[in-house]
Order: sequence, then C-alpha cells, then structure tokens
Amino acid sequence: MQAELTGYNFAYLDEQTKRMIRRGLLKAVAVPGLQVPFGGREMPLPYGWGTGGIQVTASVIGSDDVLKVIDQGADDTTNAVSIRHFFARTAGVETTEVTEEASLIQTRHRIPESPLSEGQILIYQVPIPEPLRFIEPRETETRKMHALTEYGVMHVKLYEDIAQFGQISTAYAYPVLVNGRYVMDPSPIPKFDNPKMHQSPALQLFGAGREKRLYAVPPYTDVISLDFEDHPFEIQSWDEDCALCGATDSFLDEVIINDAGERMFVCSDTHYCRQNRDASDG
Amino acid sequence: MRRITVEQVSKTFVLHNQGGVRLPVLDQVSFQVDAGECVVLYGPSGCGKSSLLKMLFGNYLADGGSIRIHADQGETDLVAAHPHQVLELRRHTLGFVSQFLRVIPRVSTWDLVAEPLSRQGVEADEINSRVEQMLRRLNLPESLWSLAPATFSGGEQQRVNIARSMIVDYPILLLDEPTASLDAANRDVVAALIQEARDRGAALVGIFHDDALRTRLADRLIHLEAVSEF
Amino acid sequence: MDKPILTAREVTRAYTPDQGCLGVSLDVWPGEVLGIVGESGSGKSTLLRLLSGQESADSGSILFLDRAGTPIELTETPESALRYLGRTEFGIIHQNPRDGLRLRISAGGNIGERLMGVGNRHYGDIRAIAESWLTEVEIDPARIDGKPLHFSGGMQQRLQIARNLVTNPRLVFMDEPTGGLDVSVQAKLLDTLKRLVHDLGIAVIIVTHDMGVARLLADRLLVMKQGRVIESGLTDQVLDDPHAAYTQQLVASILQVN
Repeated sequence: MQAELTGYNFAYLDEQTKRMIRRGLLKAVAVPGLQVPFGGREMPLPYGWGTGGIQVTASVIGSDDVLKVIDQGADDTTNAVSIRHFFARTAGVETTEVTEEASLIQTRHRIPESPLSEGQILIYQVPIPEPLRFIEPRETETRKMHALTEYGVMHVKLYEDIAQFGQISTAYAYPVLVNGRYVMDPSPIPKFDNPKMHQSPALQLFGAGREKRLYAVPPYTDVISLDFEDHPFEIQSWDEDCALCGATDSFLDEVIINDAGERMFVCSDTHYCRQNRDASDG
Repeated sequence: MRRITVEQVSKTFVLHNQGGVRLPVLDQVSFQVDAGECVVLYGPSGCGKSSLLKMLFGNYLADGGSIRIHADQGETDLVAAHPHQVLELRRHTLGFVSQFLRVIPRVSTWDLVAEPLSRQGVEADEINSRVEQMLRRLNLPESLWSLAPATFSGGEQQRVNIARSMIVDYPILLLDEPTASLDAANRDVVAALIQEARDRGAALVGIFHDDALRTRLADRLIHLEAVSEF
Repeated sequence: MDKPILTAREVTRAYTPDQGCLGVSLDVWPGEVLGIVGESGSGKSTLLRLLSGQESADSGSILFLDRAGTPIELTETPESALRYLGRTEFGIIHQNPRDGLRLRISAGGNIGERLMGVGNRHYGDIRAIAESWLTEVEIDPARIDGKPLHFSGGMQQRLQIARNLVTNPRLVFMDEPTGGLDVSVQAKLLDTLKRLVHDLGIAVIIVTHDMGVARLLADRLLVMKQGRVIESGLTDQVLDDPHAAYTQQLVASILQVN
C-alpha cells in the first residue's frame, strides 16, 4: 500500500465535479439504460484507458469503501494495477482482489464470475456507449430512435450475423434491452456475461469518458439480450476446462504457452481461478 | 337508347408559346348518338373531327357546352367531370380505337391486349380465350404474341391497338381512322368487328377517310365545317 | 375507395415569399398514381416532403386516412406517430438509392429492416419474405446476402422499392425514381413499378420532370410552377391538350421518338 497523496482533493476530482456526475448518475439510475451526458473532466491518463469509469468511481467512492479493479477479468494487468494505485493514493481507500470483499468494482470488459450481492457497485469502463452507432452516425438521429423506441435496426445487425455466419456471431458488446425500454450497449463484455446483468442484486454504473455519457442498471432490473425466435440468445461454451483450476463454468482465455504454438485455456477471472485452486489445495 | 348527348360544344386552342395564337376548331357543335348506330364525323381536313372525337374520350377538354355520356351506371358530363369519373368511364364505357399505338416498353402483345379485361376484373380463363380469339382474328401471328410491339411494323402495331381497344364490349366506341395503313384483308376484319359492335348495340362515333368503308358503316353523317377565324 | 386517402388543402411552406410550396391543394385516391411535374425549383420535391411528413408545413392541412379509416391530420401529428406511419402506411422511394438504402447492409437486411421495425422477430420468416420480394422486383434471390454497395443503380432502385413495399404501405412517395438511370434500365424499372402499383393497388405520388415517365405511370397530373399548381387533370388530357402556357412549353420540349 502506497502512502496517500496530499495536495489533491479526496479521490482526485473536485467536489463540484463529483456532484455533477452524481446528479447524472441519479438520473441514469432513475431511467435505466438511458444515456445521460455529463461534463467529463481531463484525467491524468489517456482516453481509452478508463477515464469514464475512473470519474464514476471517484464520484461514488467513500473513505470506507473497498475497491477492486479488473481489466479483462484480471486484477494484475497494468491498467487494473494503475487504477487501483490511483485510488489508493488519492483516496486512501482499502483495495482488494477478492470479489466478495469489494464494495466497488471497476471493470473493463468483464463481470466477475462470483455472484455479486446487494450493496456492491459494479462500474464499467465504456468506449462507445451508443449501441445504434454502427448503423447511424448522427447523434441527433440515434437520440430520436431511442426516444421513439425505433430499435428495428438492432435486429438488422443480428440478422446480418446469421446471414453471414449462420449464427449470431456478435460475441461481445452484445446489445440488451433494459427494463423493457432502452436498448443498451453493455460495454465490450463477452456475451457470456450478459445473463449476469439480468436481475443482478448489485448496482451497475457505466461511464464513457471520451463520449461523456453515463448510464446505469439499478439492482434487480430486467436486462434481456436481443435475439430471434428461431435463433435464441446463447452464451459461449468451451470443450476445455480451465487448465489451472479445472473450472467448467467460467469464461476462458486461450493462452499460447510456447514457441511450438501449444496453448491452454485458463479462467479470465484471475481471482475466481485462484479461489478455486486455493479451495482444492486446502 | 341515348348514349351520347353533345350540346353547344366549342373548342379553341390557344398557343401561348407562339404569340398567343388562337385556333378555334369547334363552335357550338350539338348532336346525339344512340345505342346501335354508327355516326360518322365528316368534313374537310382541319374541321376539328379528331379534336371532337378526343373530347368524347375526355382526352381534350371542351371550352364550353356539355358532353353527356349515358353509361349503364349513370350520366356523366365529360366537360365538368372529375378525372376519376373519366377514368371510370374509360374502364367500362368508352373505348377509343386510334391509328397510333403508344408502345409501352417491355410489355408483351398478349399482356397489352389482356390489360383492359384484367382491369375490369374478368376471370383469367375468359381473358385468355378472348385474347387468343382476337389476336387470331386480326391475323397477328402466334410468334408475335409474347413480344413487345415496339419492333412491329406499322400495320401490326395498329392491329395490336385495335385488338386492345375492341377486346372489351364497350357500350361506346370512338374510332379514329381505325383502318388506315391496313391491307384489304385486315380492313375487312376490322370493318366486320365494327359492324358486330354496332349489332350488339354499341354506339359508334368514327372518322373514316376511306369512302367505301364510310358508306358501308355509316348510319348517319355529322357535317363539321372549319370554324372561321374571329 | 369512395374517399381520398390523402387530402391536402392550402399546404404552404415558403422558403422565400415566392419559393417553396405555396397554397397547394390536392386529393389522392386509393389505388391511383398522381404525377407531379414541373421543372427544378418548382416546389414539387418540397411538396412531396411535406405530404410525407418529412418536412413540416407553415400552414395548411394534410389529412391522411389510415388502414382503419381513421383520419389523421399530419400537420398536427407528433413526430413519433409520423415516423410510425412512415414505416407502416407510407413508402418513400428516394431518387438516390443511397438515401433510401443501407449500402453496407445485405439486401436481405435492407428488406427485413422494416419488418423488424414493426416487431417481426423470426429470422426464417424475415428471410423468406425478403427472398420473395427480391423475386418480385426481379433481383436474383441468390443476391440476398450481397451488399447494395456492389449493386448496379437499377438494382439498387429495385431493392429500395422492395424495402419499402415489404410492409404493404398504402401510399408510396417517389421522388424521381428513375432519375439517375440509363434509359433501358429506366424502362425496365418503370415496367416493374407499373405492375406492382397495379397488382397491389397502392396509391402513389410520383414527382418527376420526365413527361414520358409521367405518361406511363400517372393516372392524373399536377403541373407545378414557382411553388403553385397551375394545371391539373387526367394525364393524357394535360399532356395532349395543355392549357397553361408553361404546360404547353413543357409538353413542347418532350423529345419525339418514333
């Protein structure tokens, strides 16, 4: 644990900014799936590294929170380590790698395997918040489409997948319908994680730094993945088990382990994997 | 039974793009046509025969007077009628046989001839037998039936046009020199078709430059004179 | 059949006091093709956008009779309802297929979009309907997964027609649908249009400056000049016996073929 920095406001952002973001978050929670604009600040890291997620975390974190940060499921990648250190130093909060111990979890591209519980907040880093952007470049038009629930084009995307690949090949950032009203981009999490968003006891907050948008899914909200009647939503599955912990129910990364091209499959959620191994060792 | 009542019909063309020249062609023309008679418009070239015939079809608009068409469904004044009424009259009551076929790209001879029947909602079987009968009667070789008439000779195109406009038993037939450019054999076929139409009770109004044909078909002549400039 | 499907009265949208669309009144009846002719800048395209709800009028009334026979005053209808009408009751064929198609989405996806937009969620059904519509507009159904980006202009225009007609609209707006096409391709497209309009009994308002297109497709014509309707009537009557000076000029400028 590094020493807390002095000379900065608690959690780096000034209080006015945090209040502004919290007001945006309140609106986002009140209207699940609605994209709320906010006055994004310059952060001491580049766009694309989690500036949106960091601003949300900075706005909701308190001194008694316990923070976990993951990047692609791992607690020990550069990005996750940097952000964890950032808050340890600017807010002096306790950090953890244990999913169950964390009150705040900032994530890039994964939802932890361990079930979340009431009182926990999951904060997603979002690159492109607009699920309709792929087909409609005009912001005025996408806003209108949301306002009027003109979501036919979302299915056009899935139709194209099936026409081209014989199945819905969209594997991440798979669009969902939130609370029966707004279509939402769940950020580039694998569609494997989509079902975890549905009726989750945890509060889910989304921050897009470059595009300056917030959105949210309150606890126990319906989050339904879009699909066709004759091509229902399915999650990925693997023929292999995790090579390290033997888990059969987690999202696996394929890792090349030597120059001969040999590979193995391991849990992408490093904490979950370690927990499984500790349990079997114990 | 009265089919057409023309009263006090006048027509003047105003050529705005040629210094506003006024060309009076008809002045206060009146006549009637009954079912089962063939009336021939007669007069020197430029006396407005063709214009009058076109007015009876709603193709030209009269400046004044009235042209009442007594259809089975009721009476309509073409001079005051709404376009839909005119279209409805053309669908069921008014047939126009002219010298010129307006070629529609890609539409086959068969479909062209069948179209007036299908627009009336006639059953497909009946359409097919009537179209075939008509095409054979007008000596249009079977090899042409599936082709669009764009490449046909003048006489062939005209016969397609006659087939198309006489396939329906219209109560009123307007004939604008229907036999011009036909050979003798086909002229006889067309004359016979016209006679049959009259015998079934159609009211016919025609322009025939061919004296023999005029004598053979006309029950009555209506003399038109060139309108003097005023 | 006994009432107009669209009734416009004194519709005005003035860009300048004498430019735009000025006090236009017209009726469109079920199953008829109404042609609007006039030179560039005469306000015909503006009129089309007003009638189809793509642009709002300064004044006037546009009454549309929907499938259920309910009259809807388009000038007082919120945009949400207008857009819904646009997907269900209207079709809009743009002159440039790029404005009416998604060029990077497959032909099947383009046709299917309106179906999905009104709630169809069965891939197999959507695909089957798209295939039958491709056949209907004379595109080889084997091209269903091809992107319109790689289609010829004529094919793009056909696809646009299929994409619009798939939800059985009752009123279709066409703005110079044969505008950028070769003459031979034009003829084929006109033929398809004529057949579909006749078979489906849809009402069509078609804007064109091509008198040949007007003669072939339209039952009735409106002639526009400087934002106003200066002459109207049966198509052949207006073209063969034009009264207004401007209409005579238009007709006189048609190239005579044959």
